[in-house]
Amino acid sequence: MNIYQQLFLRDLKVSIKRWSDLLTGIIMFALVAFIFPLIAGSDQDFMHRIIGPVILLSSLLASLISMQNIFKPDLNNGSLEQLVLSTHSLSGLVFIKILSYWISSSLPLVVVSSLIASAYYVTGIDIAKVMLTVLLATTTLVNINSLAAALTLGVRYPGALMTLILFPLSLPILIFGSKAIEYSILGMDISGPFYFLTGMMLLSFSLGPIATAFAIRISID
Amino acid sequence: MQSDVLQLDSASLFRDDQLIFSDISFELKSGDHLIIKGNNGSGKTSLIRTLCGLTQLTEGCVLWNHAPIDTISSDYYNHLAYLAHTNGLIPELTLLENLTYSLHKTDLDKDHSVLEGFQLKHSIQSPVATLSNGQSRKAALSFIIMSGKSLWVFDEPYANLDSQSIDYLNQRIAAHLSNNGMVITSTNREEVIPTTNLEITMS
Repeated sequence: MNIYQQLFLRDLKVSIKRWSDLLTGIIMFALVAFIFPLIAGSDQDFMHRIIGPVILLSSLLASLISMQNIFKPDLNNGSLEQLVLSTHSLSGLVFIKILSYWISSSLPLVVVSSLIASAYYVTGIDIAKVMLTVLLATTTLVNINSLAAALTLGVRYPGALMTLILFPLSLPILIFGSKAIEYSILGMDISGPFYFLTGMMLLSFSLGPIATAFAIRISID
Repeated sequence: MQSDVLQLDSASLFRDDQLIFSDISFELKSGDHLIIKGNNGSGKTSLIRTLCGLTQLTEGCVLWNHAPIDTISSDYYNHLAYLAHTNGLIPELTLLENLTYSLHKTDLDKDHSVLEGFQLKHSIQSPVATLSNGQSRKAALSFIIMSGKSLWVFDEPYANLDSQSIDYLNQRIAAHLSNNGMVITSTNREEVIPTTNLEITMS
């Protein structure tokens, strides 16, 4: 078992033990998204128009809530330093951390988004398209989150700063994610937004870990 | 047997407009044990962190086998094992899981003796969060000893240790030094630590 597999399994095990932290993000996601049907739930056209922005916004807020859990616990127990002192590339190790964090924090959101889509009167194959949008969008969001979290590791109350870093960087994803969902529901050709989301996913998983590794080194200096 | 050398060359550190330490130099060869003494807040931890490459020096540099550690970090980290104030253990996992998923190579089968020596054998299935401070510290020390790295850097290793464990730790350090290892220890307690031949006092 090489070091990357070890780190991946270790982080997954730890996420499961810290399930209450994960639950916070999922609940936030569900709460924000379900409020709209509860308040204004009868107008089907209206629900179809807002589901895109609402789901993307809910993902963003959910990730904001749980962002500190990527690195803060490791900083506090000293394992982050040990990661930096590894003979292996820090970018590679951070990639594994971000990947395992995405699996534990965002895959549940993909499942929940199917329920949300039903609440917004979305039917059939469109629900799968909504789930796919959440899947793709969260991959980029999680990389932006990691970068923001790494940059604010040394800051005592990082909330405002994290938000300032997070929002501008995630706007393209929010816009194209909403468009993807909107086009799905209207039955239009979805390839444009989905290509964009996929491209952003590849870009963020290539550059994100490198930038995050740099940020970690700076923060623990 | 190849001899490694760690050198610190006129190092100074400024942080937040404060001078932490200035103009410190030493040369550590295989078999040497450096002890860094000083009161709380005198800069021991900062010095140790610069030796590990975690903190950047303002002036001077750290040399491993005559090369600056920034340029050869992967090779240097192959030889370095560092114990910080925090233990580097994941509290939610058991001791055994921490060992299995350790990112530094440990050879569990060969080195049961270390865990026995620190009386941790029976706690190996307990989550680290349930261990006492002293036990976690001993566990972290065991990981360093079992890592097989040649340069051990300890930041206040004797904190929270009972006298039996202190003796055992000194035994293992002595064994490591006679095996051509290198050890750096920082402490603020005045008890004599045997087998040191280099001293730095921080003020």
